[in-house]
Amino acid sequence: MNTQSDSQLVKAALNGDRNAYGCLFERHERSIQAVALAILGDYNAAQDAVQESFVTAYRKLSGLRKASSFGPWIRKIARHQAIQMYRGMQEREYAKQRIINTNDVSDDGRIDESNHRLLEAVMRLPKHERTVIMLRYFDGHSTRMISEMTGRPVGTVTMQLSRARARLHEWLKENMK
Amino acid sequence: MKEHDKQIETRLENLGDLLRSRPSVTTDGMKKIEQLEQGKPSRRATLMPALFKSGIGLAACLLIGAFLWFAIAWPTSITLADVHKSIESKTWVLISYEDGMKEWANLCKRRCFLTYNRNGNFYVGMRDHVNGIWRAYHSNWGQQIHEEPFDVRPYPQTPWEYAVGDWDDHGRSEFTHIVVEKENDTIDGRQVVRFDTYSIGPLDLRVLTQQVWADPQTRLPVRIRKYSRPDEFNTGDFSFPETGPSSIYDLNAPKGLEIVRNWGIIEPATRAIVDAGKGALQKLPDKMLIVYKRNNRIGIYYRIGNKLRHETYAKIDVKNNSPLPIEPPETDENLREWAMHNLTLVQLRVYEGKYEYSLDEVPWKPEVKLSVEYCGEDWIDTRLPIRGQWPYTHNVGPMKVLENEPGTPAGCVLLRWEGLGLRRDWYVDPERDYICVKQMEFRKDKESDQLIEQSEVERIDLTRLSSGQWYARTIKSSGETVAEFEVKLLTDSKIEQLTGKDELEGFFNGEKLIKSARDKGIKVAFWAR
Repeated sequence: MNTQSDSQLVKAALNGDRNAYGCLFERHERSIQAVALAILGDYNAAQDAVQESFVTAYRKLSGLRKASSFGPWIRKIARHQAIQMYRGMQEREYAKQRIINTNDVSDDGRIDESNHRLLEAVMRLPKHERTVIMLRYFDGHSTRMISEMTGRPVGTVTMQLSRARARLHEWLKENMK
Repeated sequence: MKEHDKQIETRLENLGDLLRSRPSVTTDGMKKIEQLEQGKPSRRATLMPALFKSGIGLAACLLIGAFLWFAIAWPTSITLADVHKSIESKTWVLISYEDGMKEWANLCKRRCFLTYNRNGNFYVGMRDHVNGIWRAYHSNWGQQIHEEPFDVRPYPQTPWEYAVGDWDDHGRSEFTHIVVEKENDTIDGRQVVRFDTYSIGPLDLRVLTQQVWADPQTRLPVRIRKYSRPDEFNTGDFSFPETGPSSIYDLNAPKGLEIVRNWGIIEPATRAIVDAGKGALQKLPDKMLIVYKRNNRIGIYYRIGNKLRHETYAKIDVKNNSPLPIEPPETDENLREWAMHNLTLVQLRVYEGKYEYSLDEVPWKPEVKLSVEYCGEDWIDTRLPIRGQWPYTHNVGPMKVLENEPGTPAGCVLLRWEGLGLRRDWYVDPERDYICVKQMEFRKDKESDQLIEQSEVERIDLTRLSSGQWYARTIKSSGETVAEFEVKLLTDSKIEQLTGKDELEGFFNGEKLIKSARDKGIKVAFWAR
């Protein structure tokens, strides 16, 4: 795993180091995918959105004011991209009229309802909790690593994770009623 | 940690695993970025004015220009037909695409192989064009290999068609005509000739469908780019190896799997049900009006023979770009009129036998566009909304008929498919056109190894048309109504009334839609398939 900070990687990428940009992207790819997936509900479409965000962010990288904010910044780009794609998908769905899609096996790529609900709930979390949940469970970072990445003490990260899980539990419980 | 906390943690971890199990898009993204960088202007262009500033430079430039004109830009006599013919002396042709797909063709034995790894699914297939056998493995079909006979296409079958996978040419010849344009180009600094093939659609709309780059000396193809959409394509590089795969096992199909024929329907009883379901779809009346209500939208379908018109109405909240709740009248008698007067037509699709015309007028999309897409002649079945009554007919993989299973509705039979940690059950009613009245999907939980229900869909209120066919008026998903249908037969006088009234706008006439769109300044896009 690359131990350089986001800031260092952004600077290296701006100096033409494409590998640095690749590292940056790999670091945030899963949480970007989660953002897109929560909106699109379809893996394949989400991956397209991730890739588009990846390229868009590269084009706009020089405009990023605070290099350490790369994560939130690219997630914002991904969210915008996914919303654009979702509108396009909605329009196409009118035509398909696939009332029931469970019978379509193949490469359908749709996320199941339970996971979609969970993802949507994660996206509704307060920003500071959402960040730690995504870094912990989607990007697979340890609490210590999250602490270093976010600049928050380990205890704070642990507490935020715990609060976020409790909140998710409450929301999903209500959703099931 | 509390129990509920653990549960949420487990669900989050599973979701994280799910996300991590998807193939990374970084590699593809990096490729795109490399292309971006290649697109930057080179320094050579800035040197040219400097050369022109001196007399020697000018003379040199003229000489070099003349040389280049004769040596490079002078139109070569090579044609696309020459390129097609050039591969005939080769034994093997391999095209390696940028998305990882590979096409192998043994031109002597007329045997083609295709492999790809897409969205986590692996496919390898072989077509033997001499004996008419297709054999394939797909990671989504379960632990088996499928084998199907196919009708070998009559001549001409050219080596080029085998090599580039054009032996299955549905639709290509259906275009009004195809135009090929030739350009000089370079690939990695090497001088090549590029052939751009355009399909010409209705009212001379044209779309780029394929590009082929070839070496002007050897006339052999170097690169091919196949377009599926104007902005979607796959590019492959040619090579001509001495040897190639002899079977799908040489291309990593798992060994030792059962070879299943007839699309996995291995039992005659299953085959009979699937055929009956397909037959019921075919027997639907060809003059129908279908009205559906779903998700605050009203859709109206007119089917007349192999033509279909589909109007979608909604009430749009322009501020939030979302549909608002609607309150349609209880009776469906004049629903179209009600929708026309109270809602916004957000989409219109007309399929007139070959082409589908789609006009999107969604408020959040400032640019209204009419898309024209070639769909072929059997498209209508895929567009009819009530075709979903027979979901098992397009399942892939072997199904079984189970009798006396607990929970089977009276008079129904159960069709079951299992594989890849999934189970799908379809309860089919043979007395009512083999409609699937209930379908369920289960997924195996990784930890407990138990099957957990994922979805349940019911088709209820089965109603009979005066022509004898059945349809489900209500669709429920997990107990909640998600769609309601009303199907009526259309009489000749009603059709005359409808088409007469709206013919100026092109009720079923795509060309009129194009003309009308152009008159209104709407952009028209033609997509070949």
